[in-house]
Amino acid sequence: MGLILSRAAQWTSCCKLESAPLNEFLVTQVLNYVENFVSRHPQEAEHLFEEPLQWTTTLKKVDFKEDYVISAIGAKSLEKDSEGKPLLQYFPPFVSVRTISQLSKLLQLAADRKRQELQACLEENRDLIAKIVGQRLVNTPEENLSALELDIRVKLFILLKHIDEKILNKFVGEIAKQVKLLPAAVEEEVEFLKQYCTEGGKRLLKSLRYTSDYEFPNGCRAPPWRQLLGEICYVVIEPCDAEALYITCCSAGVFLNAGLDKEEDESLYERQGDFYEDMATLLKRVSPHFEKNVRKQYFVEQKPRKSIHVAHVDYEIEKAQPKTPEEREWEKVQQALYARKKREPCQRWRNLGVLSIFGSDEDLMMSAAEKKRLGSKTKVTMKVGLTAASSIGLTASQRRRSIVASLSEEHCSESSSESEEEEEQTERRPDTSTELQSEYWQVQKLVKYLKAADQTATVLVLCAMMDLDLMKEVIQLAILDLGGLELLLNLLDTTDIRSKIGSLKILAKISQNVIIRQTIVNMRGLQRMVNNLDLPVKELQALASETIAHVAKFRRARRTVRIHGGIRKLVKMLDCFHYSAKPGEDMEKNLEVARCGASALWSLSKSSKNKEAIRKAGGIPLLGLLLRSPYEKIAIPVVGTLQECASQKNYRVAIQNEGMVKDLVKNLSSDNEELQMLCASAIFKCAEDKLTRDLVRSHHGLQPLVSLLSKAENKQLLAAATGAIWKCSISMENVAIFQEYKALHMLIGLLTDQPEEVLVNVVGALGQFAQIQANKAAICNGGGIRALINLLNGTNQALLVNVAKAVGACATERDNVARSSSLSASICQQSSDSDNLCLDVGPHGLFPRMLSHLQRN
Amino acid sequence: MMEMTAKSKKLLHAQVEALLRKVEHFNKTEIENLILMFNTLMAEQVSRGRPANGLKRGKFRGVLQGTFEMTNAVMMDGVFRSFDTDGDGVIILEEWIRGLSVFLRGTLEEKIKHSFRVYDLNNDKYISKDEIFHMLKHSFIKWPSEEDPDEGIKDVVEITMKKMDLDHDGLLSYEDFQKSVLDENLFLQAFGPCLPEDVQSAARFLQKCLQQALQTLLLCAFCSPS
Repeated sequence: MGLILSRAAQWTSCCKLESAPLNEFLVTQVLNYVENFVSRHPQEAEHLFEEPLQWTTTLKKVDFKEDYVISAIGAKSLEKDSEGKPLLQYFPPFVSVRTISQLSKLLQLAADRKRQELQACLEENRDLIAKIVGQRLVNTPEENLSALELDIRVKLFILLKHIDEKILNKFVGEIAKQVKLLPAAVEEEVEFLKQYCTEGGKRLLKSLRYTSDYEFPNGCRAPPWRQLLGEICYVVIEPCDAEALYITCCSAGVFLNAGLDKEEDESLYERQGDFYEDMATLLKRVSPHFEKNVRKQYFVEQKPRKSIHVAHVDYEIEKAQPKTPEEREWEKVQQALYARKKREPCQRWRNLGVLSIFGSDEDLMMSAAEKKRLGSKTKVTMKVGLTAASSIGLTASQRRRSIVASLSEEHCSESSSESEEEEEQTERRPDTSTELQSEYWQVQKLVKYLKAADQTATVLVLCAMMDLDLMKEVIQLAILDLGGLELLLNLLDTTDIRSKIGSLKILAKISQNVIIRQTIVNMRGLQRMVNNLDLPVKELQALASETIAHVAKFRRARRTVRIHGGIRKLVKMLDCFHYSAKPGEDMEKNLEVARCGASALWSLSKSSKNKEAIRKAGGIPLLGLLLRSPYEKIAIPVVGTLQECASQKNYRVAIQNEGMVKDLVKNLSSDNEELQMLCASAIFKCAEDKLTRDLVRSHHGLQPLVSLLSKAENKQLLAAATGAIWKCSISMENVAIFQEYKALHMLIGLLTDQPEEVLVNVVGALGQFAQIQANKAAICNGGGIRALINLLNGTNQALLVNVAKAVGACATERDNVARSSSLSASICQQSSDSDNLCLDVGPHGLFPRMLSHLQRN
Repeated sequence: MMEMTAKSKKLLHAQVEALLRKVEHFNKTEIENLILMFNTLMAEQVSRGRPANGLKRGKFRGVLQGTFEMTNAVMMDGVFRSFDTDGDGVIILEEWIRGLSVFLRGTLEEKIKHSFRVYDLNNDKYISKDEIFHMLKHSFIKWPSEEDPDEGIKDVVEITMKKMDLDHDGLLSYEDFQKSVLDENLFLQAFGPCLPEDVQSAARFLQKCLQQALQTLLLCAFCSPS
């Protein structure tokens, strides 16, 4: 029990056992052994201790019943040694015991307090074994033990040592269960799984990504307040055969969370499923496809797997050498620990004297093998000691400080490597933590000044705050956490224009952060910004609407702006040509105000009620006016708003009537890809109406659309352009013009290696092109049919509908049917392969129609 | 009286013409009104003692306090110094009109010059840390009582100086100040309010000035028959 006490148990500074689960486990184990000792080894149990074990007891005189003589001052046992001294003596509050049988009896007396008693006994008798069998025997080297005559004392000693070892063994088993995931391990697994997100036979998963690209210095990606709960990062995995999985990786394991709420723009953290030890296990459970394929592949290529489960692989290698099962278990546990935690608590290790065991070989009483084993035992226990200590430290620290504390603390515990070079560690450690701390304290200082300052100093402090790297998440969160955000928002209620401007300059930047956005909304920040929109200070208007544009990224925020009349004010800001008496500086300011207003409206126009509100506030003619302005900077948010709103009939009609199609077409030829994309997307949405299609043609918009097809690297632009072509080609006159510019050829080229949103549009357009007889042949000759039929393997409904339409359109041509019929076998096979295809397309009557065309031949 | 008025009208006309050529941003009527206001203020001064050749500090501070709600004595003295370009302790008519044209209608460049003169307390063409500290020393109003507010102020001065002192000579020269303001407009009134709060208060001032002028004219008209 000596080893357990000195190595495994976690002690507090005042020589008490910490109330950690592992300590409780230890005490329970010792208790079991003591209770059973008497029945198993009656002889040894009666052996007199060299020194009595003495401790402060909670037992009262009344607890001692028969077998004890109760006197005025205490109690003693009836059993006595050869010299007539009682084996148990009780002088409140101390009790001293001289045999194990007495100890076990006493524990029986203590009944439900026996754990407490035993713990007190262990705490106050750290040199337990020495007291029982004598210091001399404890110090005897192992080899000499056999030489000693096997008297009861020596037997007892050996017995105790065995018990000690057994408990340690169990203890390690317990630790092994508590192995924690670490960021490095998670990252490794993510990287590993990413290799299987490929196309083709090896494909296990469709995609895998983190929800946040930002990685804290400690390797975690979860926001600091979630890190406190042990969460490391969030991963979104799309398996081949199921919905996307939102997974939280935390130190206790991985589990499914509630997923990303698109509308609210935040991860929901609640646990939805069981804990799994790693992502692969979870995936196996959730995705049969993954499970099936992973078996196949892991047997073939075990090599990459090795990096994750070093323990297993190494274990296989180790197996070659004969080893006792016990030893192998050690190895395994040790490996498991090392593979997961790449660190070694050198400092603690040294302090606890593990190294001295190794250093003084001769003094050791163990055999070489045992020494090694014990060494690893201690390593393992030490490790647990360290993690336990750090986790306790974490929970104890207050929330405010703990963001920094946890970051630095976790970080330093990880940065230590297997090497024992403390100097290197201590050098490295402060670097990262002070950098973080200094930023944090800087923010704290400025917030403190901000609280105290008058108008003049407020502006100076705000300027100092602007000099911080406000795009850095740590600083954003520090401002939030230290109450800075509240102060900034309060400044918006004051009358001091300069403070408001300063505050908004900061808010506009930090509101890029999701959490800050939500807190702003919760703190009624949007109302305050809206209130500032109609003050006659242009800079203030512009900054307020820019910040609104950032904050209004989720529904509740957009609604808040609408309810507080923000849309009316923002639309009013668009009217910058109203007082365009003299150009120059004034005009520039007006345009900036209009640009910011339009940006805010763009964000807001994602809610349909807001679209209506913009229209009612008279926004459409103003947007049309701005669209005509020669400034590209202003055109982007304006077209952005228009294309967002074009989902409504009212807007489409207005876009036609106000003559905006012409300007949209004009901007298709701009140099700015974002603007091109937005214009194409607006045309895509509007070209459902015949009049618009004709307008696009009459304003020569078809040719720029075709030329956009060459920008294959910008998929968003490509999707918008192909969408516009698809919708425009509903008019056959347009198809004819498209053909002049060889659009068909380019579209067929886009049938492969494109994302689905592009493919849907390309195939849709081809379906329209195929209405013309000559094109049918062109599509088939250009290898289009084969590509189209390959697309039938997908699962995207919209795509399948379009493919079926396109193939159907082609199949009306006799020649093509002949050509296609060679492929028909494969189609039929595919259709029987995937029932869902028939189901998906069936209700539209398209797939049957396509087949019927084929059969008619 | 009539003769006086005619004479003063003639004088007024000459002054307006002269100043119109020298000062930007104001039209004829505005200058006329401002001259009348100046004369009224001068008259109020004279009535209390021996005549002076210009507006004295106290009277001028009264205007700043009453019309522009300035309360900070250091700033008001600074504005007086900025107006009083020849440094003779009084503001003569030309300084009054010139100063107000910057104060009310100045371009950014002119305002930067004005602010710099206000903040350069000892008129040595540099703003030092001590001067900044002097201007900011009462800036922390809700400071925890157990801590020394000067420490905080000093830190703010230090941070601001570090940001604005672009040539790192420990002093803010006009160039430093100008560049800092052009980079961040909020620094225009970095060390205290020395310009009208906003466009409206400037407009209000001119409005008031116009009313006063009208009153004076009316008064003259009433007085003339007697």
